[in-house]
Amino acid sequence: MPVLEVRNLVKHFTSGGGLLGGAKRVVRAVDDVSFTLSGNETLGVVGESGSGKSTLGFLALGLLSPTAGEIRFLGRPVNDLGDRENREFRRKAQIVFQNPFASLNPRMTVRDILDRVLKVHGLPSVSEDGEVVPSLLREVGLRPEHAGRYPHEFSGGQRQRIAIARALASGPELIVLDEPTSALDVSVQAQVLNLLQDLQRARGHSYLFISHNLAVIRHVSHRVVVMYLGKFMEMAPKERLYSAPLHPYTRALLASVPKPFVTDENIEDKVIAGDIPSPSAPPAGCRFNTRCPLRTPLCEEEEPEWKEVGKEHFVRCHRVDEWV
Amino acid sequence: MGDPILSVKNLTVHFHTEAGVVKALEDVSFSVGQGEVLGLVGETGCGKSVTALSVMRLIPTPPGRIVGGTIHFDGRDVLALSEEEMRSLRGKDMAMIFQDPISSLNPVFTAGYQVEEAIVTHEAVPRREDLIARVTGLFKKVNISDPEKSVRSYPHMLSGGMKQRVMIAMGLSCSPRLIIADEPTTALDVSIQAQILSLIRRLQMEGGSSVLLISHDLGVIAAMAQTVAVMYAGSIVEKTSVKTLFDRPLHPYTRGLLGAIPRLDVDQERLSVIPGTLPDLFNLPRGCKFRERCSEALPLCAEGRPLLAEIEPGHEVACYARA
Amino acid sequence: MAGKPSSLRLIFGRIRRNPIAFLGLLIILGYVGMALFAPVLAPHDPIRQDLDKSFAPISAEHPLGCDEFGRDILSRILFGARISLTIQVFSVGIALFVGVFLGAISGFFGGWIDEGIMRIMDILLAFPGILLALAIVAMLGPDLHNLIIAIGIYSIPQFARITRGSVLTVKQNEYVTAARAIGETKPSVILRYVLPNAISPIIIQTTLRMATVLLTAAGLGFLGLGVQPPQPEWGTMLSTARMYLRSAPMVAFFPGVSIMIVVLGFNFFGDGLQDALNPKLKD
Repeated sequence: MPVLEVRNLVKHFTSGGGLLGGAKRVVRAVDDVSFTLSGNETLGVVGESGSGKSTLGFLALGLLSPTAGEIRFLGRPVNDLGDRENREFRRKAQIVFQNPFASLNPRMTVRDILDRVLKVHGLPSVSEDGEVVPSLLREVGLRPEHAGRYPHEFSGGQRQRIAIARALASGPELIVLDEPTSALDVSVQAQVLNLLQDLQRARGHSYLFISHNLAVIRHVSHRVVVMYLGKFMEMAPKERLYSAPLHPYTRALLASVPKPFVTDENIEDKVIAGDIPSPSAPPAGCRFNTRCPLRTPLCEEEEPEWKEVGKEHFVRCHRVDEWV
Repeated sequence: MGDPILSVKNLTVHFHTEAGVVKALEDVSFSVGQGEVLGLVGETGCGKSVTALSVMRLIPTPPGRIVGGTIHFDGRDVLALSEEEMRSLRGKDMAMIFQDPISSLNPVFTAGYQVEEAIVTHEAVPRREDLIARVTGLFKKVNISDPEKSVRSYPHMLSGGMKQRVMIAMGLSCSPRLIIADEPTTALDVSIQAQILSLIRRLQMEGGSSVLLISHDLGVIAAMAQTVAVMYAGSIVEKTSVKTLFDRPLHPYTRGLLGAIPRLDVDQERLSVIPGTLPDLFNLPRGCKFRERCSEALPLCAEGRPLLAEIEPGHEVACYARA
Repeated sequence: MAGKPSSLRLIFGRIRRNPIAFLGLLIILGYVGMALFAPVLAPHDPIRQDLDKSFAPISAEHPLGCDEFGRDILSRILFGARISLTIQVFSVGIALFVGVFLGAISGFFGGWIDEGIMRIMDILLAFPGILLALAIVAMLGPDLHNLIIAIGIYSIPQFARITRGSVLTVKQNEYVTAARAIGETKPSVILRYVLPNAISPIIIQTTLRMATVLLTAAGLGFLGLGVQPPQPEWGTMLSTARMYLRSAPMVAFFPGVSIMIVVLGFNFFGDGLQDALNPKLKD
């Protein structure tokens, strides 16, 4: 049974339209996306601002309620859980946020932060391996004597380890990682990424790994989804997506990342023209058509289908058959 | 190349805070040649932004203080200039592009007006039509879509990428000889970053300005810079041409940094890691600042701070293990 | 650094380095000391009349002289501090409790709950403060309890607004979302995650409010609607003394100066606390 199954998920945010609010504006943050996530798997979600990738993570955890569509967690629909099942879901699905300076309560010690998770879920604070808090801290590479300190006494990387320990405390099956290393320096990022991989190997949970950084996503994921203005544009196993990308957006995105080595290529030749359209007024037809170097008249009129073009490889592009 | 446009020697900057003295920069020396792009790369707290602000003499004082060293711009001693002379230098001969285009623009004035102001501060342009034409021309030059309309737009009506273009137009307005770009694309999306980088590069080639480019992203540095200085905890640890740096990095920190970057083009089973954390800038250890995280540390490294030394032609490294 | 809680020692260190705030703190400590130890410090019974000593001048026996009934002014000032402090502590306490509760609910839940609570607060704020207190006292009758209730009620909106604003800011923090993600209940999120981080502006408001409340109590006393004679409340003392302003100005001078000094003390300290709790504004 997959850990997470998402079917035709839609999330609209409405702004304005109150008493004096003027015209209503609807942002289609997540628009008709479907995927499954298996146990012990990492699905990388990559996209630029306005792509809806963070909203997707919040929806998967039930921190936002969807406008339409279905989310199943371990086979059970998340949208209408009873109180007890809801608590169970909260225990088994956790999140790590981007900014470790904002995601830890500054008035709680590390011990309090971790203890709360155990208390909320009625979990014992001592297990057969001894006390839980010190062993969690050791597991994320901190020392047990750190338990009495407050978050501000730690560096960014150490705080992110605390946030990871908090996510692990309840023994989750799914952890949503929302840009977990974007606020960190490169050398610290490497430490945290290695830790996340070690933890997955040891515990076997799944990750929904959200990031704007294509290289990080490549490093951590088994499968990768590329999002643009609320839509999935391409989804494939990592090797395929990075070695043989099919969607023009994926290709352009991969080309426009400056590589950390000297090449003969010029950054000028790799540019995707134009601005990212506002998610409240996405273009008609294919959402990428305003910037696509390969667009046809059809792309401006009709939304392409989400087509399976190879094993586990999906693309949303009218012209995909031309270059499969 | 002739004389360098900017030459910084033994710059030392301290910040006096409630918790003690932060040694933000220690003996930083580098120079930027005419038409050269120098990349300054490093992680949080390495002092790259403090370096940029010191060159512009924009260090908030207090708490900051330039304790020692010299900065020469075009042969003039920047630290000896009066505030009046410095003002005429800033924005005219030296321009700065900041990381955050959103808070760098004033929300209550139009984009065009703010660029006009930048010009009028340094030059007398008698006719308003000329001024507007010049601003519109600048907007065209930095590829702002629909420049006639954009000059009349307020910042909130422009996207992040467009705002950064306005900031660049403002920086270029008086044809500066040195552009200091402090993380100019860090706040932008990947596809917009590529646009802005290519713009800065084109303008630099056309205008022949020199650029001091500050970034934490080795990819950006590789794409843009000719010479690179790697900073760590307030000191430059390695300085060489971009090609040499990426082909033959010598300082253990540079090597560690390059190994820690996830790559787009190859599979890595594990990222190599620099163990430990940045030393406390309030309380720097004796000897080399990187010693405690270094796998190649020698007993000598605990004794004194290694200074930058030319280990091979055009390749300077501050490391006893390489000397 | 964002979200770094300042330790008490750090805050006290900042206050000490700010001479005005430190002066404010000393005044407050002196005032509280006066109130607590009034029975020990006072040389005479503050209520006992001795008409022979009516308007007695400053002397060793009566360091601040005597009032129209020959009562020792120093003793009355000392006991007056007790009454003022009682009024301040209890009325600000009521306002703090109710205001923080309403403000926290309003800010956290938003929507119609917020609308409802904040409109009621707006109505309370639409009355000039002292007039509202005046109306409540006039309705309930002038005595210490009713004075405390009246001043308490009219101070509620300030606390509700400050708390709501602060809660709205704190609510944005990811650790609040993180608390929901680990399954914390809403009351627990408010009490453990939101309020402890929203507290600094409330503390500052409490200090500054102490000054306003003292002035209001004195004002009501002056108008004859506060604590009734012979109780030695500073405002009431000022009110009765004003009749002898020409012949015996000292009788009015001392309670007036006491009010002024204590109000200044709270304001100085409150401003200093503001700087100490928000070092970002100064760095």
